[in-house]
Amino acid sequence: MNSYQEEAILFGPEDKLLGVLTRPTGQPVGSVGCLMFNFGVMHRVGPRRIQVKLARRLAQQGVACLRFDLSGLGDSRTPSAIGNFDEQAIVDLRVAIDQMQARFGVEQVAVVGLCSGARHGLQVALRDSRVAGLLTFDGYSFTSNAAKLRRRLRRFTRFPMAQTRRWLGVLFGRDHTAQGDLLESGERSPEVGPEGFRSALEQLVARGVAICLIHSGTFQRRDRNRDQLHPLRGAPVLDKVRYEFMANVDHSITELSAQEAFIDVTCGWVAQLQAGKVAQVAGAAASASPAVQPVQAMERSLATSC
Amino acid sequence: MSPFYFGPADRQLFAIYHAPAPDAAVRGALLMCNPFGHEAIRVHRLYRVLAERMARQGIAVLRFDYFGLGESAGEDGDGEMKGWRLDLMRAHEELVRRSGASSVAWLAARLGAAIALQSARYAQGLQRLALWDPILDGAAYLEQMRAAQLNALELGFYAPDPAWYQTLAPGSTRPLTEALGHTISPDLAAQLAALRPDSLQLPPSVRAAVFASPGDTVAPAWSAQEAARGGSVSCEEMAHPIDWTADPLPNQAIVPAHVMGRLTAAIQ
Repeated sequence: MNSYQEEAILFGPEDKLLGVLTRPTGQPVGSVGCLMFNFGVMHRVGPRRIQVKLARRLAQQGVACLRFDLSGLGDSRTPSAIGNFDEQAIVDLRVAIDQMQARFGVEQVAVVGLCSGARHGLQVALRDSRVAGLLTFDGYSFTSNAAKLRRRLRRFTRFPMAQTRRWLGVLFGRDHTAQGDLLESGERSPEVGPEGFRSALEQLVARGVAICLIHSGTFQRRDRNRDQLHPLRGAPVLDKVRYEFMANVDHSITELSAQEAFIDVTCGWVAQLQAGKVAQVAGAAASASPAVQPVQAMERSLATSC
Repeated sequence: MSPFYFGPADRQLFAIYHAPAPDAAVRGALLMCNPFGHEAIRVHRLYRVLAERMARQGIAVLRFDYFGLGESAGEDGDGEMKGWRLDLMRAHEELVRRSGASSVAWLAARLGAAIALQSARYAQGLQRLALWDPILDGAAYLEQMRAAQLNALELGFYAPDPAWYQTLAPGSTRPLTEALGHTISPDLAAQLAALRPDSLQLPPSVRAAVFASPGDTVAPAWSAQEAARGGSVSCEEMAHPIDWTADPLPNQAIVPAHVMGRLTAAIQ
């Protein structure tokens, strides 16, 4: 017998968003729920179905989950008034939090943002005080030039023939596209620089939001002293966030053992968040900053750092 | 678009029903049969867009996930071919019940095509099959998945692990236990190994349109075999940019227009 139940729903204005609720059964629903959404253009199941597995495991520990598609992605439709995609994503996430509150009575949520979802997760965490936790996977990464060079060299030695052919093609004008460039993985540069990211983390930590930053082994082979956030080394805020480098997990969380490891870390973090929620809320009350102020601060930091 | 779960309590399947547009004359029904594992994630967007297009033209459409895959109940490794055939039949009945249609078509991609062919003779009202890049040789498919897993790991890590090659090198005799994040159970592996083109037959009452990628010799040969048996089957080459085993990325074609056009024509 499963210790969870799943329900497919349409929700939001005009019922244009589609998601699946995973509800714990046989135990009380915890006061912190969990939100999951798209990984790039993949629909809500996530890479290799990881978000289905994660939601079910979380539900087994009493955490209600909603995984859904942002407007225009997966099975969700676009709103009648089409606006900026990133802005709409924030609206969608806040509507999803409303839904979690209405359906499960949860007070706060943890947002899981995989890859490109990290930036939407960060934005909604800054704007909505109901976000108690933010977990990003391969979200914001600011590696040093030396680390980037090591990565390119390693990649070249892994695929020497393919890369030689490709770069000779580029040299002789036969191939001007980025296709076939195995030295880079084509990930988008973060929309905020290191300073903007540090500022955002500081605002969230001050509000009592728990942060977990997970990095896969896809972009670097190993991690020495938080290589993925090189310019932020020494920043006091990094001591207040959880930083995980998972060398045996790739960006798409391909191997089943990697999936287990990722789910274990995520479930452990959510369990701690659930247990420590009261203290964090008290911390948030002490800082007592209205939700709009961090947004303005974020916008200022974006303007100065990008 | 209505998402819901259906089926027995211990085998709940996720589905989305696209009702025909209210202003369109109802012209029939279409069941969309997923490929296996990651390939279903890869084709998700194309299926959704095609389903909406069909519904606008008066065709009721049902998309669903097999047990142990996608949003359906079941854990990794719970699914296997016999169960998936039952899932497909339950989805067919659900589509007929909801739409009231007497004429049904199935669109089935990759391994979904094999499941569809194994189930077709039991489906009342099934008239047409569109089979896209069908998997008709299960042993070859297992080798494709082995290669895809190795490729994904090589691209996914900067440091190759020698252990991968013991299981994933071409011709390895070790059993393939996982592919692109999905478990290959011993039962499923055995069923796939036993899947051969000559074990798949088209029912006489069903017309089939096969779309095969360039270089696929199995699908045209199977089509010729079925035509020789008196079956109503056509086979066309259809090149397309979709790499079934790659992640869908924003800079890649996800819903190629010519694929949509040809599948639409085959279904109608």
